[in-house]
Amino acid sequence: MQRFFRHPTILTTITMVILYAAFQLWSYRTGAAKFEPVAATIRPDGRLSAEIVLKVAPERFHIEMMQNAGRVVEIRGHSFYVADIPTESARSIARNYWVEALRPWTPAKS
Amino acid sequence: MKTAAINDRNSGIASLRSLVSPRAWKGVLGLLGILALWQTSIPLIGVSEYFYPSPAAVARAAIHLVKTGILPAYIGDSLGRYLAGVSIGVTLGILFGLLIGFSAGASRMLSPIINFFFAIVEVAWIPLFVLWWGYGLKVILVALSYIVFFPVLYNTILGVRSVPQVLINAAYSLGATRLQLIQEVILPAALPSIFTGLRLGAGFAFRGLIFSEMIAAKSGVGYLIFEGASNQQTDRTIVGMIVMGLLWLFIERIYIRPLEALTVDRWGLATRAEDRE
Repeated sequence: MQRFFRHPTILTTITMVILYAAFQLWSYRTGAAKFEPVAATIRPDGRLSAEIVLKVAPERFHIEMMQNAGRVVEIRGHSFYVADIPTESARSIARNYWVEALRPWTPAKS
Repeated sequence: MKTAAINDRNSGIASLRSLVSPRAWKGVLGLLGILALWQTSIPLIGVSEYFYPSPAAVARAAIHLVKTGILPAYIGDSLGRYLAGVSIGVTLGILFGLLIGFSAGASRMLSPIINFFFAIVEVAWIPLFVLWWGYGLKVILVALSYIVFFPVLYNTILGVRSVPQVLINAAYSLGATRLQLIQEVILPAALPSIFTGLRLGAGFAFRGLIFSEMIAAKSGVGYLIFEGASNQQTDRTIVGMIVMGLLWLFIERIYIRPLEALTVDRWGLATRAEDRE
């Protein structure tokens, strides 16, 4: 049994699984903290609008992700102003390490 | 107790030694040599970074791609597609290989069709798949399964047909059913061949993954290579190429090679028995 766990394949796989699990745990914890400021703005339909601040300049990858999550109203600097995001999508976005913060934002009525 | 402790220590030392073995260092040295050549060739060639980016520029692009979350997300997407596609292709290849290798009727019926499709490369299918199913996962999975299917199939057939008749007769005379014969004799004897097919198919599938993602995806390392070339970000294209190479090295070294060695050690007995005859 000890020999089995010393095999490089098993050792590498276990290390990768542990690292991945630790990273996921860290993402969940930091994501929950980033989501906290917008938690109070969740509407009865389970959606919210928020300013999502990135740590990096937005690229197509981020724009597509935000468009999949909700209605992108504006991109200014490192901030996305996104309306009607389902709560779970907002939590999932907050878990990304390249997301700096989620701030409450109310879209102007047209 | 003391002997066990000494054995433990010795095996630990052996593991460490394997990490710093001269062979591994030679590989690292080779890599550093290529990097040095690449870097020194930049001023000699004297073209812009767009045409021929330096290793430093590629490293900067890689760091930026990690910081933006693009590279980890694309690697995850590519690996998921690769594993799913290879799993489907291997399963189908083994099933059809056993069927064709074991049954003369199935061989007569399926061989012409399979040989016909073998001649049509996946590159020819992809535009048609895109037309049928649009861009996305389905096209990539079908393309990858198609690539893996044929090497696994032909090697499984070869493995099944190479089982010495004497072993099959022995199993039957001991009262084995057809299913037991497959489970206990044919499949174990064919495993080394199946793994040869798997290794070939898995390698081809990695190349196919790049091509499929270039055409039918909006994420993945193949898409990164394509997007980098389209947006004049050659450094990103090279990052994608390096990542693909490293991923394959990792998969081959950590999973395929040990599994193959294990299979030959455990199940390669049929071949050795044949050699003795």
